[in-house]
Amino acid sequence: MTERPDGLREAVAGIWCAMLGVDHVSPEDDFFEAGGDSGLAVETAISLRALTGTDLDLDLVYQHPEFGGLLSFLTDPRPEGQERPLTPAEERLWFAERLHPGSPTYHIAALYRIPGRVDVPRLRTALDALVARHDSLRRGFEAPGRAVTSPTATVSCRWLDACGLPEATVRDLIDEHARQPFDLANPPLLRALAVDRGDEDDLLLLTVHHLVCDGASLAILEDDLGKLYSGVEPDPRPDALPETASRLFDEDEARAYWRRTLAGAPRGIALPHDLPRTASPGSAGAVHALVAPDDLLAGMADLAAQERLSPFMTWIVAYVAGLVPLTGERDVVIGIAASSRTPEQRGEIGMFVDPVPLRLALPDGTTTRDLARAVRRATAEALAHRGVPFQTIVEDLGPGGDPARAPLVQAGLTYLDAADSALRLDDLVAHRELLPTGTAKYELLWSVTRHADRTTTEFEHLTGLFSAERAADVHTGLLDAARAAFSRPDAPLRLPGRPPATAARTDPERAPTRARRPIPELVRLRAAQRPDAPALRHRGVELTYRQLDERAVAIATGLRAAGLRRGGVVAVPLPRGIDSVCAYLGIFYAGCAYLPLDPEQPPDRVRTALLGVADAVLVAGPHPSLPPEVPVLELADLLAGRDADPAVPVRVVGEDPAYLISTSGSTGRPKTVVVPHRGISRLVPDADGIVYHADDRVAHLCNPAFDASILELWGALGSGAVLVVGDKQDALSPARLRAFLAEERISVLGLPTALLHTVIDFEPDAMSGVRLLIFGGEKADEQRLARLLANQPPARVVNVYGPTENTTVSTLQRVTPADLDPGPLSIGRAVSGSTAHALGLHGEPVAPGVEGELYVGGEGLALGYHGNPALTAASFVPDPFGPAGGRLYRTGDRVRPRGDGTFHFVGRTDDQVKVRGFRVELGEIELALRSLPDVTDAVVFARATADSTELLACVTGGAALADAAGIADGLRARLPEYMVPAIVVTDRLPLNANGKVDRAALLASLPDDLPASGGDTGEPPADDPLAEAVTALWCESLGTATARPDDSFVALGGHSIKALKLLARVDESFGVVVDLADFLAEPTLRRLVDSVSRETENAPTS
Amino acid sequence: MTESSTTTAPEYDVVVNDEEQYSIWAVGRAVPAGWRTVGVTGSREACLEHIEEVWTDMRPRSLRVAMGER
Repeated sequence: MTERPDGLREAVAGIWCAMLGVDHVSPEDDFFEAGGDSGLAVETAISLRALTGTDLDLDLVYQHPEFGGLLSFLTDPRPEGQERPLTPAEERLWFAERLHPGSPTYHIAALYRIPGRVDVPRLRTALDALVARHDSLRRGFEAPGRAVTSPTATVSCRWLDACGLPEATVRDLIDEHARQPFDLANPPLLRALAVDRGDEDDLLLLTVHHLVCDGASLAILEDDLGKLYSGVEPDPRPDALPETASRLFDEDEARAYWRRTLAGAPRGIALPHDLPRTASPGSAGAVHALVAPDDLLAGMADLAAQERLSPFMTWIVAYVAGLVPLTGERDVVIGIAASSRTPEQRGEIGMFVDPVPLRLALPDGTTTRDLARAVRRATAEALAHRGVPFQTIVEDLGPGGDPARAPLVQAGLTYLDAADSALRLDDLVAHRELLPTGTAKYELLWSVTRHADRTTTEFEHLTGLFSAERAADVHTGLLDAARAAFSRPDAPLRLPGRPPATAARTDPERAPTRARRPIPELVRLRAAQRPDAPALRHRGVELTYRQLDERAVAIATGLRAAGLRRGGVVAVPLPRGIDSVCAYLGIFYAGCAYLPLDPEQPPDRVRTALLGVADAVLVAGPHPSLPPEVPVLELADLLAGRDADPAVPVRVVGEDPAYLISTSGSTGRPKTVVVPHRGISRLVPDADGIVYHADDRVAHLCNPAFDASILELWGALGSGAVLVVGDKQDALSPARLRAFLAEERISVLGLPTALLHTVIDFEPDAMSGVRLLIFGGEKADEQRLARLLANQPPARVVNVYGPTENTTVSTLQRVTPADLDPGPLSIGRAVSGSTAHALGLHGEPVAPGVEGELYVGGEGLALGYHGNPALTAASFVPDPFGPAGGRLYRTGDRVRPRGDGTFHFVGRTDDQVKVRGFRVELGEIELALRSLPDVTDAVVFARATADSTELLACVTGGAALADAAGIADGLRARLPEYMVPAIVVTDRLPLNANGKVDRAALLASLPDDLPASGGDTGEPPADDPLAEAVTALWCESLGTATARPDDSFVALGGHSIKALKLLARVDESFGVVVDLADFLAEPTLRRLVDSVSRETENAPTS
Repeated sequence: MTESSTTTAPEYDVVVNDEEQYSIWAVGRAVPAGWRTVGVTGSREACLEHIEEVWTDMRPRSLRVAMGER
């Protein structure tokens, strides 16, 4: 049991006497008989709270009016658990825990290398004594948000015999122990692991949850534990006299300070991450550590001495000076961890830090010294007003910012002086090493620790945003910029210019394009490097790189003999196979471009595609119905031995046309896009997130007339991998695709979105052996992707978007479970070497969140439309944002920029229809249909009628799918009446040759007149007590008087803590636990009511 | 040379870049760097018609140079 020092008795007596104006006190004295009134009783309780650092009840003196009773209550905690509400700091962490249950984000894992042996029984005894001494180490946390301090708790202290185990294994075991979740309701939130490594030093791991400990507490913990282990009495707990008046804190004034200081502050910092931002980047993190260079420390020490800065302030200067050039922002808000520890809490272990936002704006000409003074002032002011919980500061600012990011502060800084702290077990001295937990608390947290012999900086970052390489680069850049700043304190800082307006565009300099070899040169290089490696296989026939190269040289020689020269166009109406691939490469070697054609197309289409475009047609075998105007070359003839042509392979440059793709044009005249080599070279063999390796086995399943095939063909052959040709039937049945993938051990697979959907429906785990899955071509269905990711998914899943006119891929997005929740999947950001802009009607960039037309530019841009200068000029327009003379392609796709370079696809510019005067997005109806139970896919059409536009939907689904009327009813629950289409339930949606849903065929198959969607208006019953009760809680938590079913909790300013409270109230009122993450995914009142009523209906009736 | 029709207000300029690629640009907006007007102003259709006539070799100038032509 804890032993209180006599100091406490004296301190309590001091308060008692001061309040009652008496000289001394005896145990039997009664507070109220001695002249105390209710006001004094409350003041006394407040003073005792300050003294003990615990949230004593304000009617404490009423409970224990006699001094003796009061004292024994304070010195001997009640045997049963003591409950209190959470402090704001605890509430923040508790909320984070509820959002990511079991995450080790807030574990503090301190590892000590003990230069000798740990006596484990003694350690156990010492740990238990430590826990008895510190209330926080007996504290647990219970829903919906209470801290409960138990009278006793026993520390789990494991001993691990790791003699002879390899270092890496030991590390893994330690990491596992450190990251194991705590049961927060079961104190202590502290555990230990002692590792015996035989001849080597013992290791001791202490893992403690941040809810009960902080950086400064760790030093206290080390000190006390060391003394208890070594048989020395720990320092008595300080018994400072309570400050009463000075501790009174004007909360209104402080809140006004924060509102004033943060008015108009940016809500998000533009961090230089390299991975596309997803809807929710998760909490997975990593740490990059550096040792601060001596010249930086020297420069910092000089300026600190001149400007009377604390070390912490000096590091804030370094951080801001480093962030400004990296982020390109001159008005930044960072979070610093400020101690809220009162003097009375000096020796206490606990959670006494709270993030404090620090805003720094840097006008032109700001020097490092100016910044230092600004930091000094801002820090002093912030600390003076730190009593306002961070959540309250955010709440007071009102709604705003990206809901997918942490509110207000995404970049943090901590500073800890650990130079004097050590764990001393007898005469064994060990310094802590804080272990990364594989998580990150902020998008970026810079943790500076001063050790006795060095200062380390740790760059903790979300791995969903920063690759390891980028994190290392940014961290180094941060230190470099700080060094430059401190080396010349009176020189103006190098400040970035502001980006023009709120241009929703990606930075063209984000990924400087490398000079890349054209693909034919790259394939030749692979053939020279590994001539006997397999290059190509089809139905068991295999070609090595040498054989492929030889065939391509022969074909090129033959083409030149037939008169073709650099810049010529050769049509290839061949099915996928060894011949077609050799033909394309041979055409490249001749300096020509290939025009791939689907041989199964109607002859008329082949003919129109060829005429006026191709200089020759390359065939293998009989070739019926080719137009007589174009010379036909037989592959076998070309391969027949000829004398070597010294010009082969013909050298090409990036601007040389590589291939042409014939697309259907709205006018009937085909549009033939001419794509240059630079377009392919920027994508393969490696682009952001799509990297092909020499040991890959890449499936070639794409129709070559579809431009996604270039990723397969040249991704494989450009990297030295094997291109495995699959036949049509391999791809069109999920079961066969599964067999193909398994038999051929495919590691890289590309699928059109519609086909991917089908595969997921039938064989969701068919792609478990695939390393890289690339899909695109249509809007993806989040529910299906979620199913894919839950079933042994490919290691990397990438969604690509892009028109042929910008070489297959314009933007891309890696898909992780976090992206699917909440909201629609983003199409990501511009791929390296490309730019993307969302522009308004007059070519002006639209603000984040506002719809615009997507314009794309950069290295992938096509040369234009073959033989069609007017269409080219209309579609490829001058680029006002990029390098001089550049062009942008108008995609005709409507997108919504998200402000971080990523885009949401909205639809086609020509896909918007009006129904009864309302603007209707067909995609929105499709999305709603797909979200109905048992609906697997849906396509919606707008069809003009005599006097209006009618909406039609084709729906496929499982056996339990409702009938058309039932589906329409389900839809009415999600959409306004005018958006509910007539429903046709079909067995399947036809796919066209490119694997996309064949909308034309589908529309043609529909009957001319369909029953109107009709039906009742779907108004909810007016009299629903449950809905009313939920609405009341909703209004109460938002502080509003009324609510509508479609109101969004988040849009109305309900932040995450409020959400947690609302759900806690729901739990109390209805006994229904609504998952916080689920609620935030769709935070509408309607959804909440649904969740509650569903649960209450399911509840046992007994 | 096609001149703008007198009945429609001029809306676009025909512009060209150093690669001798043509495009159109709304009159009144600053012409982006690296592009110049060619002196033809008119409706969108008129401008595109002009381009259809004059842009006879659609290869970028740098490619023609790389291919040993002027």
